Amino acid sequence: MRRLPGAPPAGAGPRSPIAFLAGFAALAAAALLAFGLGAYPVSWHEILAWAAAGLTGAPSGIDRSAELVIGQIRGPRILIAVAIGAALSAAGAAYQGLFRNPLVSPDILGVSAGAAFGAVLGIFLSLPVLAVQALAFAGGLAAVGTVYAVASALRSRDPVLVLVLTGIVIGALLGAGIALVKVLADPYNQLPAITFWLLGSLSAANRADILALAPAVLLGLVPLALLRWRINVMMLGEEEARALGVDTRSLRLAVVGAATLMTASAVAVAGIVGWVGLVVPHMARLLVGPSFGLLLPASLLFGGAFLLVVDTLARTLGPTEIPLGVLTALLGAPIFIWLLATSRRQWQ
Amino acid sequence: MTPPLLVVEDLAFGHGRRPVGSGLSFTVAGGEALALLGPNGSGKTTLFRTVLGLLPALGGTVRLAGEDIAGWSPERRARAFGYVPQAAPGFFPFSVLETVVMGRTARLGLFAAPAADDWALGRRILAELGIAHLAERDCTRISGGERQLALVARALAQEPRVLVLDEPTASLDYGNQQLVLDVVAELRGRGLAILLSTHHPDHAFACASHAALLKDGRLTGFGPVDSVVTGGSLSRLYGIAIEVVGVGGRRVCMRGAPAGPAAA
Repeated sequence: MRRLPGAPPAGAGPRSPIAFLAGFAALAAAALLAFGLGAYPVSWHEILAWAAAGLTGAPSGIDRSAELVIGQIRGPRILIAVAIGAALSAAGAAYQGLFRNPLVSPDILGVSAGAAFGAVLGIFLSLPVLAVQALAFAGGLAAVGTVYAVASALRSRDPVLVLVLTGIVIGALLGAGIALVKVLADPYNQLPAITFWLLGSLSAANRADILALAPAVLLGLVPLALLRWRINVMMLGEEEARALGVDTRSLRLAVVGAATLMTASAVAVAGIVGWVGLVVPHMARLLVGPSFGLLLPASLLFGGAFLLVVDTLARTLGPTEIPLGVLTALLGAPIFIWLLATSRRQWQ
Repeated sequence: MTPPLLVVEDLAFGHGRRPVGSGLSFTVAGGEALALLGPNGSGKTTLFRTVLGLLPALGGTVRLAGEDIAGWSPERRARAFGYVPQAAPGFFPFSVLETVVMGRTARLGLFAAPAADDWALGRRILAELGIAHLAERDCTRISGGERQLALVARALAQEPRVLVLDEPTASLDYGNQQLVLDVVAELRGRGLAILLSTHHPDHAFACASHAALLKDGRLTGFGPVDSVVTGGSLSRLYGIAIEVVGVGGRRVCMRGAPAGPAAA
């Protein structure tokens, strides 16, 4: 196997080829399950016939409604679940490296709080769905922009710490704003929508969302992939990275910008889906090592598969859809405790 | 005659606008090692950070081969100055080889990752330092001495002209201290200009050609080790009685007899 550029020579990244194979297998299995399961069951045979027809252009010969379920309903939702899981995990991996803290999640700088405030305001003002999404996206970017500007103004020897603390402060402020809107909101129509949004869901995901999501996620992904080696060096800390020739201020801005763009676009489509960006990069690091050239693709792969499984459970477990945030927390918390128990040395 | 490689002139340094020290002048030529001695809090680390360009100088100049380094890009600085910080375990379990190859960063394009020859160079440096067997080991799981040598290897991977070591023997056991000092002496032999700080005057005798004494932000001595590191100068530097004695052709520093009647 040819090594990925940026990957260390054989020996480091102990189980990485197997990990990637397992990741692809898990993603494929999850996709097959996700296509098949649901209120209208579709057989494996029908899924394969539809896929073959899509590749060759010939008529699939399957039931019209099965075709509709696969192509119009489940297909877009699967793509969106994978994209959002991948985006949140990649952003989490980048932030954990940048802030040298494995307990950091993609919303550390207040992107979720800002997006939530925007969306909650949109719902409160009874705006259409598209406008709510746009407000969420703008709110996320504005929150992180504010955090970054405030932290840069507070010159300090430890810019990373100041950035994180400012993120907490602005996040708390926005939390108060969200609480206020919830108090004022109509408890019968608006409050359930707000609560549902704050817990995350893909029940309203459609084809248009893919078009909104894909460019932002790709735009965020490109700089992370290009800067993979310098992000490794940033993991040594501000001082050492600078001594090794990294322009830390510019690199931090690029990484924060890229990760924020990915997170904000994911949150705008799906609401707040917690835990994914925290837990998945951890699992990926255990399997392929800390080097970002391998960690980034592994996080994308596992993150996509993880959220696809969670979303499939969310829509099939009960009579009504379960919010994603509830399931990611139920799955994420025990996984995270297990990770703490098995890899404690990393943050001692 | 060409001037020494590193020339520091009338340097003032500190955090923000508050100077920690000022009026410092010293030089280090290729093949020389300058040991910086000074009590805790005398500003050794801040001085090093300023020489490395990690902190802006508050006055004076740092010149490398005649050129003022103020305004150099981080890359350019990292190609000239190799830095060995005090070894902290690090947060992420990079392998020793990966850590060493991070020293190549300033010689790679912005979007590039190390290529095969960078990895080969990393292995060669590890072999030269006698720690080739550590290459695949996890940097968070090796001993302090091994980590210190790995950081020296990383600084050498920068292919620098000046090597700056911040208390390279701190928190190492006796054997590892000697190992690190041997390495410093050997690198000096290769023509690198070396600047190191230490709390042990003996370590200056072991590996340095020159010494500088830093107290309250000012140099109280600078010159060849034997003429600068004396019982009198050390006693003034640390505020206790210290003697330098010759033992078997080597100089050793020891606690001097306190003033008053000597114990039998």
